[in-house]
Amino acid sequence: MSTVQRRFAATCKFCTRVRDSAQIIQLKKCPCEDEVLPSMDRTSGERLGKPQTGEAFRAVLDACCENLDRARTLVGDAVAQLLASFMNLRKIVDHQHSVLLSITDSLRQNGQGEGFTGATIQLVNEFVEQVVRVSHESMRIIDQLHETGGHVDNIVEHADKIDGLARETRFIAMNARIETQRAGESGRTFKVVAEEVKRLAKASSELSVHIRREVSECHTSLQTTHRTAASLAGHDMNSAIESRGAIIGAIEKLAEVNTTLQETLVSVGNMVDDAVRALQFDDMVTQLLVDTVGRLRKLGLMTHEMFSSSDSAMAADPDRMAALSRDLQALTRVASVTQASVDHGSVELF
Amino acid sequence: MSVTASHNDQGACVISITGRFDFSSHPEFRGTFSALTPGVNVIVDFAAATYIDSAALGMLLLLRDRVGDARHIQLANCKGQPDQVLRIANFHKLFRYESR
Repeated sequence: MSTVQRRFAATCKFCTRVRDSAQIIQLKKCPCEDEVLPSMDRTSGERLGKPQTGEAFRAVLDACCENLDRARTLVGDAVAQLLASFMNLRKIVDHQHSVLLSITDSLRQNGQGEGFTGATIQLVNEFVEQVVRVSHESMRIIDQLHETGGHVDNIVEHADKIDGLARETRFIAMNARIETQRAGESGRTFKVVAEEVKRLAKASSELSVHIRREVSECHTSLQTTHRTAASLAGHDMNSAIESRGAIIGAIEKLAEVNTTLQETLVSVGNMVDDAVRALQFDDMVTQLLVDTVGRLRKLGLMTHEMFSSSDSAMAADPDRMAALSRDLQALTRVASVTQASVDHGSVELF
Repeated sequence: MSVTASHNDQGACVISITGRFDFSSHPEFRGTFSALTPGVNVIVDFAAATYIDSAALGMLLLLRDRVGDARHIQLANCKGQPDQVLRIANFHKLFRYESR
């Protein structure tokens, strides 16, 4: 440790007054309440260490610039990634939208009644038509069967009449036999005739029996046919009603879902557009950072120059002072940041 | 289940259906045809009908065949299940139709 009393001088960077009280230096505080940069040893009464102080200033300012540059890079990278994500999201949303549309289109019944639901409803309608037709025709058949039954009954009536005729014929045959016995020998040929008549009467009766048997078979056939037709005539319609109701309900539900999903997709798309638009702040931030870095670097240079020259040299050159003053004024002008041209409703895709 | 025929004060023939109107009603329904006079309007009243199936639809078509023109036939007071079945078969477009 030197025994020579060192006197320190320092310039407060804020109030620009030279302080050389040892106490103040020790406290490292200027009475204007701001810190004072420590300076080197005083030598010949002149302000000492200004070039080194200038270097220190510049170093700090350079460090600031470095940080700002780093910040600019970080923001730029982050924004680029976010943009890519949002673009992807937009693509996915659009794809989902078109998938949804294609599904609902293929299912829905359009004006021509095509589409899956249209075809199904058409099927139900055709089924109903068929069922009604079968019922109608089978009951027409039943009506015909009644008519046929009537005719068959008429046949029985005719068979009865045949029986009646056969009976009468037998009487005639009986009377003829009696007459032939009375006639004796001359009645022999007549006897043959009478026998023939009797035989014919018997044949008629037998025919009548056959007819009745056939009629009976007819009746049985008619009854069977009637039963078959009856089984076709009636078919419950409630299942058709339920089916059609279910299909129409499904269409309505589908329309609801379709509308809701479409609205959702549209609003998600809008949100993505909004986010992409907001990310364009990156452009403005970059400009601000570039501007700030520029000013700091200029400030660095000016500070270095100020600290490099002596006070007396400065005082002796008022033009230089004026120039410095003008430069400082220029640095305080507000930066104009131009915004990327984005209308409120559109998004720049880049 | 019953089917009865009468005439109203406009001279139209009214066939009233009560209860279930299905294939078992066929003989009765057929029987009312004798009360039909040509050129006279027919009203089939479903007010008291509770259930119909495809046989009922077939019988209405038989009635149409008999009368000759579906526009001379009115289906009246159709409601509930009968109304649903008549509509699904488009009978509300085929005949004159009044639902309740």
